[in-house]
Amino acid sequence: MFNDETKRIGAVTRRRFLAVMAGAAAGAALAACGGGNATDTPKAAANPTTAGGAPTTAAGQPTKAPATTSKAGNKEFHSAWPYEVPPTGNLNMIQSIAHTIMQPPNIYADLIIEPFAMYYWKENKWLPLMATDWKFVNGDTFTVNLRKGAKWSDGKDFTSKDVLSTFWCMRILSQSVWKYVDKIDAPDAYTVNFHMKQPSTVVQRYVLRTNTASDVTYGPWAKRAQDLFNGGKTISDPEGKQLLQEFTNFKPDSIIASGPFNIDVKSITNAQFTMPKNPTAWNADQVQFDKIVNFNGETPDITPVVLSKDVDYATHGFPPTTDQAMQQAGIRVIRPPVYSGGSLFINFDKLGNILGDKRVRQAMAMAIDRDQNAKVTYANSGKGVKYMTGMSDILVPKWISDADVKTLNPYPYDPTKAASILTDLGWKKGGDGVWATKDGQRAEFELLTPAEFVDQSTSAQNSAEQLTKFGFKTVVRAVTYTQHPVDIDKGNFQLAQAGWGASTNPHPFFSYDTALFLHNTRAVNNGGKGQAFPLKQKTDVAGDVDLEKLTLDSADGLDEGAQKANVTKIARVFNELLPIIPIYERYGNNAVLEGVRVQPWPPDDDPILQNAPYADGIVTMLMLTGRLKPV
Amino acid sequence: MGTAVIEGTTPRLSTHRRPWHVLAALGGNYVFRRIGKAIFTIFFVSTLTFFLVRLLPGNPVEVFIQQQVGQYGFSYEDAANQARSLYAIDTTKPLPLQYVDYLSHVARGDLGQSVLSPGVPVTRIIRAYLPWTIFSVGTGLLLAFTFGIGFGMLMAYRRGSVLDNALSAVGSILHSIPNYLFAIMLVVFLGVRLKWLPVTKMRGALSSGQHVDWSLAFFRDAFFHASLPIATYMLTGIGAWMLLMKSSTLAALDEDYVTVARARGLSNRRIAVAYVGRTAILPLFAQLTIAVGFVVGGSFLVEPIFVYQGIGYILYRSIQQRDYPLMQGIFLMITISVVVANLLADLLYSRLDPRIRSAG
Repeated sequence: MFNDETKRIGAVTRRRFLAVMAGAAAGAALAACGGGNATDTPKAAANPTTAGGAPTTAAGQPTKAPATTSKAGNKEFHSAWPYEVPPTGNLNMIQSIAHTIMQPPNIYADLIIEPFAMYYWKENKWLPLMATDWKFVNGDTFTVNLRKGAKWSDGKDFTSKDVLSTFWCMRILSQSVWKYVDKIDAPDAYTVNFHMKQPSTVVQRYVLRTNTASDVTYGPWAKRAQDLFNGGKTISDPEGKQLLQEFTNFKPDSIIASGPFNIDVKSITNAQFTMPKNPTAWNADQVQFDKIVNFNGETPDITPVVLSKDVDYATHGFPPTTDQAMQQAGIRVIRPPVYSGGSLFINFDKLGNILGDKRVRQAMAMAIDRDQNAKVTYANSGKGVKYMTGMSDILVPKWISDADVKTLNPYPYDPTKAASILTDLGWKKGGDGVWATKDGQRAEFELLTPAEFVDQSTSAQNSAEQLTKFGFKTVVRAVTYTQHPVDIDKGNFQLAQAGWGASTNPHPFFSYDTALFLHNTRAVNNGGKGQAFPLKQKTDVAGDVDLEKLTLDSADGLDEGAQKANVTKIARVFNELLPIIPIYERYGNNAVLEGVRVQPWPPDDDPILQNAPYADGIVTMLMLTGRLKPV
Repeated sequence: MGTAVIEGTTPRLSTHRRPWHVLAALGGNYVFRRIGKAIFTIFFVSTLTFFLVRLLPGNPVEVFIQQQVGQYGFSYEDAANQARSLYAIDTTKPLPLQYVDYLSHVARGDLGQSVLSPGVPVTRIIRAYLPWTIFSVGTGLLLAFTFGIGFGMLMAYRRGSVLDNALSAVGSILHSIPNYLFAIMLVVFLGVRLKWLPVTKMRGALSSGQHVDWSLAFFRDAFFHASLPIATYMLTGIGAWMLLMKSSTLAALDEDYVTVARARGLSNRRIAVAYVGRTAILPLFAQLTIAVGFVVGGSFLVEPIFVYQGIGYILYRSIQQRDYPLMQGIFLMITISVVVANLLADLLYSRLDPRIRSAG
């Protein structure tokens, strides 16, 4: 019966089963071989006129696995920057397109399509690149003169037509520069005028740090944008939405480069890709390296590669233990300022009855040892905030006179003085060591922090411990980082660990925008009250103030002297009111490998190492000026 | 056993039978019952996934809006308008309507577009990443199975010996180490500390510039890059197969027919292969089939460590970035693979052992 039955249903034997499994394994292997070319680039032609291969890609011959040491005529620089491979990653180089590989203005994208200029933060001066000079004219126009003789990798001249196309495409994406600018024109091939509806010195940086893309790729899109906006439509109209959707779906198959390097599309894997030299760049001769090999990965993925000494420069935020391991391995760690840090945000809607009085916030600032917090969080890459002005301590001397700086309260760590402030206010400490207001409100707080960000969680934990020790009983609640800003805006918090300052723009306006608007006035639009900090305040240092007006005035107009007066005022007001409590200022711990492929970098006191590493890339500017040399 | 005659075959239905009779007949059929159950399971799990994914805190549109507001100073309305167009997803749409949309698209084989890569279909992303996972995890699984049953039989035949004890200890240790931990140890100790492995060169699925073709260079390169994931899957999986095969073999060795075979004077080799091995391996087949179903899900934590271009790597990224359509697409695929593998295991086992089928 058993044998008959088995035969009747097809005689599936163990031997046959094993044969099938072997076949399946072979099939799996074949499937892997046949269908897995994730490096296929979307077939959206950059432009029919370049079909046949721009010199960019033609020059970038596929290379086998790169050598990890440089050889004669093959001077490599190894970088590390995360990216997505196609089909998720793409090569649309206009700012704020999602998942662009090396999306401008990242520090290596600046080597592919160069900006007009880059900024030396310490010396307050610009390095001209695709522009030679620029100026404000008539109080409402910013004029840029372009570099003559510069060429794209397809051999075409770099002209004002490319600039216009780029800025029209940026308007499709509602880039911030268009909040200030209402008209752009080009009187000739090498001059571009930006007419400002709202004159401001910040326009200079917005424009100069723009990476111009080729008109060959983006001209047709610019034409459509120009027709749309000149026709009185906006991006919110159906035609605008359609254009936006089509543009964000646009995935060119190569990049036309103006800078000294370009991406070899065929070399892209999810582990690394190569950026060979673009010989047509105006400054190609000045750059000492033949190619850049970029390794993909966030901090955990890239750490072994760095420790294996296969990366020459990495800007990832390494935890203190890795920092130490890098130094032990002989890897130099440079610590450029990031011009931002961590702070405590207060929900005044929920805690107004306890922390609404500025003197309580001042006591709170003195109850936390900020240096200790910074040390615990970042080891040698963190510093306790000194001036407590809402902007980076490094920027303070540039914007505020010495006399005014002396009026600032540094809120030194002094729990005794903090306790006396509370006692003067009628607060009492309970038997369990927790302070209570004279109305009996206990100082018990919950501190919200993003779970995945180790630095912020560490800082929050330390602040909570110090506050609890002082008598402000504080417990940490971690939420996923994507929910963290949403919870703050919706007011679902009491205290929150959040960032202050501005890492990408040296003007203090952006720091006050973060402290006073981002999770405060703008939170209202997000369905909540956020911090719920009233921006009209009475102060000792400036009387009645409107912080919103003060902030906007700090960037308004073209007179930097007048701006400094406004910045000084708002800094002093911030220092008195402490709408947020800055805790630490972050410095980078960037891995620099010297002597393997690259000669030693400039010493730590070189002004270039004061650049914000994610805004005006140190490595980028060193490379573009020929200061970074291969061994 | 009476019902067994019609089970496993397409029932011959006379044309005059009414539809409910047909359904009743199908319902009584073992194969159709299993297939129906599998389809329902896929539907149920995909529905559950749809809602669970949306219960995750944070969503990509909100994150994007926050970035635009914070970094570029947009008004909330402008940023929200931009996000809606950029991401081709409207999270303000009522959930039931989103669900109906999802079901209707899935029914047409359309898994939607990646939220974070506008214009890129989810199926295209899966097609780009899945083969590498099938290759690496599948190879690791088959190697673990093959060597596992070999060592398992050896341990059973040498039971109580030093070899048995040593292999049992090794198998237990390997079985108890999570694969992602093993992967980290490979990278840190063999790669970074001892420098025995060129971990930098081994990252990814292929070397830079190596094309997918039918050349020897391609196969060598693919195996070179997959060797660490394969080793991880194999070594962390082999312990279970060794221990299972050992116990299964020990049970078979005690059977009467083995004693009879010995009494008949058959060679040890023939007894091991034709009598003991064939019987002992039977329960492992079903487990192997089920393990095949977990090929996709098993790579979730390992691939990111090796930066290996597989479906686990992209799933990890999609969860981090709350790319709903991509997450749903991959979860659906994992569900289907597990359910289909279970179905195959059921059907296969019912043929290898008719008692299962008769019992229903």
